[in-house]
Amino acid sequence: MDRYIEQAVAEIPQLIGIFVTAMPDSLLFSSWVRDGTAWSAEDVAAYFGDLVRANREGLKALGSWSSEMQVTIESAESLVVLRELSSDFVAGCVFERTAPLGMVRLHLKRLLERITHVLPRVQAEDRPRGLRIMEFLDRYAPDPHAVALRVSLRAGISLEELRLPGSLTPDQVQRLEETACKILGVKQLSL
Amino acid sequence: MTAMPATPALPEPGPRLSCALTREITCIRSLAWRTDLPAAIDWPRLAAALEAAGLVRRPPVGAMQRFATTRGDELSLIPTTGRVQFRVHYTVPEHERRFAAERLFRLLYHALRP
Amino acid sequence: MPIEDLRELLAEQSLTFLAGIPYVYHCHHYNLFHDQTIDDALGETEGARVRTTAAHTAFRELLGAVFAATGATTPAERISLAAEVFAWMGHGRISLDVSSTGGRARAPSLHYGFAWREKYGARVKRDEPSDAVAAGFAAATAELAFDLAADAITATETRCLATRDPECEFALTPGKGHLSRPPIDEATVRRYVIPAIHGVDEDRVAAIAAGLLEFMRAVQGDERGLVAAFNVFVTAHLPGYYNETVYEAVHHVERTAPAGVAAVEALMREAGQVCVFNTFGNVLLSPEWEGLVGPLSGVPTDMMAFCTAIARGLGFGHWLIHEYEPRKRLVIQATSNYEAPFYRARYGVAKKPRSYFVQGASLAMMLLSETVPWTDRPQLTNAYYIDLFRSKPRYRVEQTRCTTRGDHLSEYVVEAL
Repeated sequence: MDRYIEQAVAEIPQLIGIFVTAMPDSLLFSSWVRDGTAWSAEDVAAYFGDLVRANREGLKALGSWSSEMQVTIESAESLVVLRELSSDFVAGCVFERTAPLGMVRLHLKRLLERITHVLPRVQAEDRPRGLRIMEFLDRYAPDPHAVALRVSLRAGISLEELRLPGSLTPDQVQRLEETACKILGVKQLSL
Repeated sequence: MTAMPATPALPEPGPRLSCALTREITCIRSLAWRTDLPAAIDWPRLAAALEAAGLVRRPPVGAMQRFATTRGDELSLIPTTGRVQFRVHYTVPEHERRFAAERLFRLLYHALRP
Repeated sequence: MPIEDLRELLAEQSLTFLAGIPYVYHCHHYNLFHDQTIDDALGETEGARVRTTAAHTAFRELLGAVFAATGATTPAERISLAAEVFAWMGHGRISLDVSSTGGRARAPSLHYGFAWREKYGARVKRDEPSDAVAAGFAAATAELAFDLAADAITATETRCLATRDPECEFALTPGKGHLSRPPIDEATVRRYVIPAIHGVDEDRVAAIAAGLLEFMRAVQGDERGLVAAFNVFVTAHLPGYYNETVYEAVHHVERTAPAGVAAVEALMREAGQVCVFNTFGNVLLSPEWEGLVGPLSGVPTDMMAFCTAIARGLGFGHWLIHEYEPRKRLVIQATSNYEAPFYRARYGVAKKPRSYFVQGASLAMMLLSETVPWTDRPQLTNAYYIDLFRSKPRYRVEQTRCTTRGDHLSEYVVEAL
């Protein structure tokens, strides 16, 4: 897949990076970034996945969601386009800010068609909620370096038990989730 | 680090000089920026030009010379190493800090011209 | 009398005092992490209560001493002077409208609220106010202005920058009153220090520390009462606040949830790491450092000397390098620190080492000296912090001697795993 992406992007000089995220866990599936770019592909893919999920929920709340939707972000330094390829994959493409939008759309259509064509069909694995909560905290908690200690103290779950979050009891998972909500300042986790 | 394109070369007959504005990754986002100048430039003349441009000289810290704008942005020069730091005032909103730094950078550039 | 004139320096111990009450410098990273840890241990409600009480007590000690030293007697004079002291320390500008039965206070910029919004505001939504320190200060000011007993006034923050309000507001109401404790002042501190001894590279450490102490003398709050220095927000802060909150929180966990002691102690150590990584790191990379000391060599023995000097320059006490073998072993000793006098005066002799802050700081000094590529202009980001403390080489720290436990001095041993 990585090699295929590299071939596909070779003809788009203003493309800086592309990230394919596997849903629903927002995990990096494949990526390509231009030489000299020091991004963490795992982080970017995870944030893009969460962003598309939030966008999907927002549009559903407005009653205007369709699977064709696309998110375009124009920042000071880049142009980012996020798109759902299927129910299992999301693609995020980062272009130079100077790239004309019309050209971006044209390239993107061809590029994503080719990538979609080679994506596998996946059977979503039902991963333990405790594990997914800890991964979510790692991505979004302030001071992620201290998050396991903070959770341990607040939820009353030992550090040893937190090292295997997939093995927590239902009661511990509930406390973990309440603690995660408190740490992140949200009412519920978007998992 | 974000680099701006190098500034145009200085006109002759002075030495050719180019410098770039880069962001220093600091705890307060986009607040500190830097450029590096050759240690051999005429630092007293540069300091005088900055004052003439309206910056106020602050007490030095060791070898570091400090200048401030009326808004509180700071420009620090270290002649011994050539380092220049632009420190945008923390009350400037984050999305405007880059532009504030670029204004300080232009101010330095004009002060460097013969 | 200018506030600067109330400063005193116990030079041989690198301890600083304002009107005879100890103070130290800490940056917003440490301050926010510290408060967060207190709330992690106690929960938001009890955490806020303990933090407010600690600030109340600490500022009563400080302001009482300041008013006595300056001869401030009338309520107006005392309220005005207290607000000036608070701003001078970098905690922000606060205006108080109070009588002997309470009142209100407002502040457009406070260190905790402003810094929290700057650091975390884009990532986390906060529901609870963040300025317990200012609340405690406001209560102490109102009490002392009208010669009231300790805890005659209670202050609660009702609006806060950190919860996205345009400014901070406090309601001051009558409190229940309690007996005040004797202050932890310079005389108390002197009882728990021993004569300073020389460490490795002593002359260089002492010279740099003296330069930093001199530089810090000029640091004071700007027109908003905040200090932006070394690319961080800095406060002159009261060890009484840090110590009371830390030890009350740890003791609470020891009493009520012993299984959580390892986590709370680890977080207290982590606060020391956060301080060294952010404050020491930003000091080292700052143009001020380059102007005062020169460009960084990146040589581990140099960096260790620099870190030790910074600790002294911030008023943390007389830390010294007893032994240092790069990549293997570091032994830091302290003939004075800001934790022990409080612990001994308040709680007596400890059963185990209790100097959590220096434990974490020593470990971080080892990593900063050995692993960070200083000459490559490293970026002190959160991601780099995680990388630095999780990847190899890894070290462990053990406090082998502690003045809170009655030992002659404090000693921290860092060894490669």
